Amino acid sequence: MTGTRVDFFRGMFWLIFVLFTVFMIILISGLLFYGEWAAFLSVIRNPEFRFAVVFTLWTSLIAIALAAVVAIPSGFILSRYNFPGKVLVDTLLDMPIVLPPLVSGLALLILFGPILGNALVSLGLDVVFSARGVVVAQWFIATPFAVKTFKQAFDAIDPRLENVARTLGYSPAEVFLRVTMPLARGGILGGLTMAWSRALGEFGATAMLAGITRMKTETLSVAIFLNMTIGDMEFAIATAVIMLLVALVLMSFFKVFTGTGVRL
Amino acid sequence: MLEASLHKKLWHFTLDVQLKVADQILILLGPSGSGKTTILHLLAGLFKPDEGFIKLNDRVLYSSGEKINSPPQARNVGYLFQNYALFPHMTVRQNVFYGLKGKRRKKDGSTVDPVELLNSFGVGHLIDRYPGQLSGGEKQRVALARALVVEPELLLLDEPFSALDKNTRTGLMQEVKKLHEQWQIPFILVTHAEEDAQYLGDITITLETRLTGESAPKVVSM
Repeated sequence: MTGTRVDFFRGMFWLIFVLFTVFMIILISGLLFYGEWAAFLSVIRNPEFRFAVVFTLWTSLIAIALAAVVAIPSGFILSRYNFPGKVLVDTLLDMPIVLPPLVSGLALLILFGPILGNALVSLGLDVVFSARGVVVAQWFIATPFAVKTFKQAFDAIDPRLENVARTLGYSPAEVFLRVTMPLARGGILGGLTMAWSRALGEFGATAMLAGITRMKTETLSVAIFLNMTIGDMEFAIATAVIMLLVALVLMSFFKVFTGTGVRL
Repeated sequence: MLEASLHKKLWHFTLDVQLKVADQILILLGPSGSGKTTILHLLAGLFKPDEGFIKLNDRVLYSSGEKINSPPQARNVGYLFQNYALFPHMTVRQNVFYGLKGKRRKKDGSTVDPVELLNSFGVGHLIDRYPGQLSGGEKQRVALARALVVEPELLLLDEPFSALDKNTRTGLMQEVKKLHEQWQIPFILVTHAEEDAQYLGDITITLETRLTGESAPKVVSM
């Protein structure tokens, strides 16, 4: 009797699991096959679409480079050192993950507008409603993901390996480059992929800080939004399909990097 | 010759040790938590003492009075870590050459041939393997070769036999003793096994775990 009850119980788990998988397949196929190929090809030749692709690529790549510059030291400090208030700092750095992107964007708008705006404008580095704002918004959203994954990658390395390298005659910088970074490589690449996918799709904070301006601050996400609002479904769907394919590719990279990641 | 006076406040007691070791094997014997590994870290420069001095041959490595604290990479102290700490992303050859490269940039001169050293430890045939493909005893021999190839003036060994089975253990203990006769430098070996101390030790310091207060100063001379 118990046997059949367990089977029924497991059966329900399987049923829900399978239904959810089918739901995802239908959802993605719907996006892929709803639009027409002819329209898709014409969208790809559209200058607005091309602008959005190129613009999204360069802004997100700069944002990811900046995120790495911040996240490598931050992740390393969080992994290797204990200090009073560490839990608070850790929580603070995680804030952008749990904050609604619109709230992040509003906070960035206040910082780069009323507070720092005049100083930045006099330096010629105004951020608000500009391409720089797009980079800042993407960087802000992506960095906490990078910090988190990098910290885990550093956690997985035995500190004795770093210590032994010191006794073999290497300075802290050399040890970091020759021992720590190679061992953390899988986690670092996985984290960068994850952070990049966040930056590529960023919309809320970008909209608040950089605005939604056609052919100026128009990322792929902004392009979808702009064209939905004027009823150009074909454009929106084509863009969405491209973003879906990019997301799938990035997700596979993430799995590969973290799968073959740190071995000890 | 190593001379050291180390004073360091740890969270549960204060460590206070005086050491004087010629080209001998000094055994630090004691249960876990008695500060054995801390002493090795202090000597290697991975931790900083609160007070005291460390003098290795003619060089002052640390002195609280003279405000000297040379970093680990400048001390020329070999350290064999517990569980070997071989670089998992490097082959045996790369592991052993890694330290040599670090040293050669700093000073020229006669260096030990790493391949010959590996051969003398009986692990020469494993030179292109990764640490993950080695047995415990083999890893330990490679780690020893890596520590010695930079010609340290002092060798620290943290529980070098603890993870090995009995046969490997006895064999390796004899090898360490032979190695010491060859190299003629001070060895400091941390262990919790008294038989290691009896077999290898020229001098033994027994450390006790103390929950509070100061540990009695341990004075050891040759």
